[in-house]
Amino acid sequence: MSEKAKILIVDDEPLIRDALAFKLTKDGYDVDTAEDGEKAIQKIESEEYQIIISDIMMPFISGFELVKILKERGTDAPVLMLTSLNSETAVLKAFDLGADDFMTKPFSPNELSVRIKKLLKNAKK
Amino acid sequence: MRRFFTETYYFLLALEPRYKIVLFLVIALLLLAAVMVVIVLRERSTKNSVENRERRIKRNAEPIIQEIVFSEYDGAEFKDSIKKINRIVDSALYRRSNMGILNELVLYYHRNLGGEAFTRLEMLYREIGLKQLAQENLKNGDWHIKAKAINDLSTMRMGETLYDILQFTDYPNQNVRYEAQYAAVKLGGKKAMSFLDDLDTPMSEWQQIRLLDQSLKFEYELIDQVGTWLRSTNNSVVVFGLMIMRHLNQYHEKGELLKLLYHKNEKVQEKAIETARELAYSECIESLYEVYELTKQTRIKKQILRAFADLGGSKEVGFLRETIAKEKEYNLVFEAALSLKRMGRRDVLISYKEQELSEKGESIVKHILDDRI
Repeated sequence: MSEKAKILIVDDEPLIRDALAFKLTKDGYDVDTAEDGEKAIQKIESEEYQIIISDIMMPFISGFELVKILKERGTDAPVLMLTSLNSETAVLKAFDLGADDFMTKPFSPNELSVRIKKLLKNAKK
Repeated sequence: MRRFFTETYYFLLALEPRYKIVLFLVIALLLLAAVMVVIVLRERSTKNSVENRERRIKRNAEPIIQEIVFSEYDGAEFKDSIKKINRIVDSALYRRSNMGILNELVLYYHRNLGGEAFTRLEMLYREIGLKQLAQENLKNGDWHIKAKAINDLSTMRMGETLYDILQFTDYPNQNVRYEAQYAAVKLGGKKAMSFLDDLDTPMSEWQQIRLLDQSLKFEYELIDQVGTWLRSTNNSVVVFGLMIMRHLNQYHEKGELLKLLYHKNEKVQEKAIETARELAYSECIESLYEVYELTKQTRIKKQILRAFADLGGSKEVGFLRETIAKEKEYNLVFEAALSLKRMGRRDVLISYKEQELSEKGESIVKHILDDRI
């Protein structure tokens, strides 16, 4: 039996965090959560994740800063940004900093599942 | 004990009046402070109890809602979950308030989730009784409760409540009717916009923009009611009709537009000229000349001069040239010069002979010709 992929969800909104964790656990992933960028970095330092899903607007360290820090540290895990900022600038900035995918709220949980599968598939190549 | 009170009484009686006043004030302030402390403690305790109830409901209802939203439920499982949620919110005293908490939870998920989850949340909203609660609030609540109920029903796309919502589109309270008008367009599309046909109350500019934003989805459709709106006695409806005509390219009511150029309301007249210009309605030029002669309003005249730049030809070039030379009003000379520049007729602007322009006119032309500005 193949090992479950480990996903970290970083979002300051508990309802979204819990809902995503519920959905992804149901999809068969091993899910961990963090409520801000600082806690996410601590977790990433001690654990290895296959995918990181992060909100942009967060206290202390924003999603943009988090991606930048992760890429500077050489973290391989693909990052999917999830945000209510539906602007071209935000999308471009996220990709420019090294994000691998981008979704805007309201998002379809089923579409998120498909994108995660795709990211995992690409990461294995 | 009795001796203590007697001695205190005589001691107070013997005090100088100014000390008596100070003592009275101190006692009064102490009493006031005590009352305040009691009120604050009571408020905090009520707030804590409400927060605790809110936390409990969220904690218990959240997993059930997630299960409904993210799982492939069959009918029996769905009904079972609805029963579970109903048990969570059930209370002899707080059922309404509990339902309010649940309502916010469902709306929150709805704002953030899309696709299949979105549809499932709408189903949940209906089955759980939140739609019914909103409809009851529409009938019995204060204005803010009514406005919130309308907003919730339109957010949750409860199309079947459109008829109820339409009853509030001309409601005396502005917030309620604005929410109802917005919800009507959102839920019922262009057909529901017929509430505008006999709307008596005025619409603010912001409300017109909100409705226009909702109407943009009909961009490639013919909106039959535009003519009725342009003939309305409610000036805000007429202005909105003109906005629809202009932004949604509704050319079929050009005849009505021509009549509105002569409208007695300045705002309507200004919007009509603007619309004619935007729609490149050059057949109205003769009417614009007439209006220019009839009106005393500088704003209207300015709009007409601006329209000449987009709609006009050589005749209008001559008119603009003459306006610059003869007009005394600074704003009109400026607008006429600007229109000539927009028509690409710099040659006309530099063709004035010496003494043909006033000192002011000369400076305006010089200013307009200066490409650095």
